Amino acid sequence: MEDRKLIELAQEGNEESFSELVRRYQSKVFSMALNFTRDRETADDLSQEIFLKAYLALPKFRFKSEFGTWLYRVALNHVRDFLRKKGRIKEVSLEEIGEISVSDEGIEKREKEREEERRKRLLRASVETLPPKYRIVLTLRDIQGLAYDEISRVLKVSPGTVDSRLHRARKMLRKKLLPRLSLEGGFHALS
Amino acid sequence: MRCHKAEKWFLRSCDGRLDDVRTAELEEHLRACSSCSRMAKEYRAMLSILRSETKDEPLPYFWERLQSKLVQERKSFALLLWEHWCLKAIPVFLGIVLACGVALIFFAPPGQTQMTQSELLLMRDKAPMSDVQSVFEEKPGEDRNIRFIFAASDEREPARRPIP
Repeated sequence: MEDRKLIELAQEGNEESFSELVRRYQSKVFSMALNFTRDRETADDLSQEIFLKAYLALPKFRFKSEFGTWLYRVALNHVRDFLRKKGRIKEVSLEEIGEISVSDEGIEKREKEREEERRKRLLRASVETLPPKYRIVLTLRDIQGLAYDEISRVLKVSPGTVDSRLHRARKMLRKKLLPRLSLEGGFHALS
Repeated sequence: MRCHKAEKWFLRSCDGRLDDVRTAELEEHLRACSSCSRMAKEYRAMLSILRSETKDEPLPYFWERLQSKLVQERKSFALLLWEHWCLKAIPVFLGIVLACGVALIFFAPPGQTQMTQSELLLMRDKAPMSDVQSVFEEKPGEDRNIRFIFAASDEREPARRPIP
C-alpha cells in the first residue's frame, strides 16, 4: 500500500496503518538519531518520541510535502532540541580513538574489522566537532543519503545553501582529518 | 583550471551533479595536477567511509513499546481535552446563570395579586364599609357580631403571592 493511503487511514485513527508507517521509517529515523547521539539507547528513546510526536501531529499533515520529508523534519527538530538541552552527549575525542595504522597484507580478519571500526569512529568524532549547521547537512547527505532538494525541504533552506554548506562541511572535515592522518600514511589509511 | 575550482567540481561530481563536459575538464586537470589528484583521493576515501555507514535498526520490539506509549498518550490526551473543555464550560455556565438571574430580576413581568373584597372596592373608588354599614347600625350587638363571624368565614382567604 502507498504511503498516502496509509497516512489517510492513520489520520482516521487506523492503528494498523500507522504501525506500517512506523515499520517503513523506523530504521531511517533511528539511524539519524544515532548519527547525532552516538548512543543506541538514547537514539531508540528519541525515535520513540519522534514517532509519538508524529502520531499526534499526523491529523495536521496536509500532504504539502512527502511524508518522509515531513517526518525527517520532525525528527531533526526533536534531535536538535534534545542536543540543545543536553549538550553534545558522549562525544568521542580524537585522542580516545587512538592511532590508525596501515594494514599489513597478512593481517587477520578480526584485526581488519577492528581497524575499520576505528576509522569510522575517527571520522564520526571529526564529524561531531563540526558546527551544527554543517554537521546536519553532511549527515543528511553523506550518511543518510538524502537528495539535495530533499535536504533543502527538510531544513527549509534553498538548494544553493545546501550546496554551499555541504561543500564547506566536506572541506572542514578533510581539514580536520589531515593532521591526524598525515602522521599515519595519509588518507589511504582510511580507504 | 584553478585548483580551487577543481575541488568544487570534484565534490559536485561525487554527487553526480557535474555535466560530461566539465567532468572531462576536471579529469584532465586531476591527471595534470598532483596536489588535486591527492585531494580527490582523500575525498573519495572520506566519503566512502561516511557512506558505508549501515542503516541501523532500533532496539527490539520497537512498535510494541511505541504502541503502549500511544495508548497512554491517547488517555492523557482525552483527559487533557476534557479538562480543557471543563475550564471553558464552567465560567460560561456561571455566566449564563448570572444573566438569567439578572433578567428575572429586572425584566420579569409584574405578578398578579389577588385582592380582598375591601381592596377591590377601594380600587373602584367605593367605600369598603358601605355594605356593612347597615349591620353596624343593627341592634342588638350580639346579632351584629354573629353576622360578622359568618361574613368572615364566607370570605375567601386573601393571597398576596405573585402568580407565576
